[in-house]
Amino acid sequence: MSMIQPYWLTGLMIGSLTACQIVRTQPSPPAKPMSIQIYQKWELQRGDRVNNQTVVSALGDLAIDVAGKAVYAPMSGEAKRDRTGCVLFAGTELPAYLFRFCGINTPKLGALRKGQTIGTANLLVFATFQKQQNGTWAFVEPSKAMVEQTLKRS
Amino acid sequence: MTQKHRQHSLRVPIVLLVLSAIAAASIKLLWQFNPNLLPIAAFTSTDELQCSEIVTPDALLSRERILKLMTIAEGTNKARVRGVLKAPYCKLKPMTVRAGVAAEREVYPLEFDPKIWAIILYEDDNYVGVRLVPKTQQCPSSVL
Repeated sequence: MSMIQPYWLTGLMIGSLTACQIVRTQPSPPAKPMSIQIYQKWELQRGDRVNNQTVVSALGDLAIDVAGKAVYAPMSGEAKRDRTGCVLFAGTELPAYLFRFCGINTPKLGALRKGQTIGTANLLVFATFQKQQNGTWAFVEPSKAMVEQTLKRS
Repeated sequence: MTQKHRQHSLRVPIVLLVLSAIAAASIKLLWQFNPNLLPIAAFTSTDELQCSEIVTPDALLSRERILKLMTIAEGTNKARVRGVLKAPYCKLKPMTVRAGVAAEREVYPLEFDPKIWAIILYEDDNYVGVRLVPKTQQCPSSVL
């Protein structure tokens, strides 16, 4: 009788560890790439091909030589991949704005806290969008402070 | 006697091991369920959703006023929006997202669920947008 108790406890332990594994391996929502409709109808946009060569940064984009360093979430928010492989980031407490980070190697997606690393980049192509009345996203000029917050851990 | 003693001395470390494993598993489960329940969460949870200035401590947003807000177009003058929403509960830290334009964010807890905050964004005294956010961000809400 006294020998049964440890076995029972061991069983319980295995049971609780398995429960943890089940919680951990819960399927995360499928990371479907997002696409946004841009307000400006400029002739050349990022990803377009000219003379069989790719436009990596177009009007409205800010290209920064990050030299392999990290790029950080400027505020708490959520990161998702878009169709062209860039990262779209929306701040939880900032309505009507969207940030686009292109050129990030193996980005961290999902919920991010302020100052958390999104990923590293060599040439970061950054854009800021503001939502328009018709639901499209317009390129707007980001403040220097905003860009600074993405480049240094806050 | 000696056999019984040996058996006993063997049982104690096994029970301790099992108990510590259960404790570790419970903490892990608790952490996954709600990180804010553990004191360590102070290092990881966001502390951003904090008012920088309380305006009207008892301000709440009713369903009717939210419905009215939904009919207001972006770009409408702040005074008109405030006429519908009345004074906010508080203001968040001012920030500058667009170059040279101050972003002003005002917060209203919802009357039917005060744990949810409506954050209204104004720029240049014009209404820019709204977002509903759980006040305690225990479960990160999807914004994309």
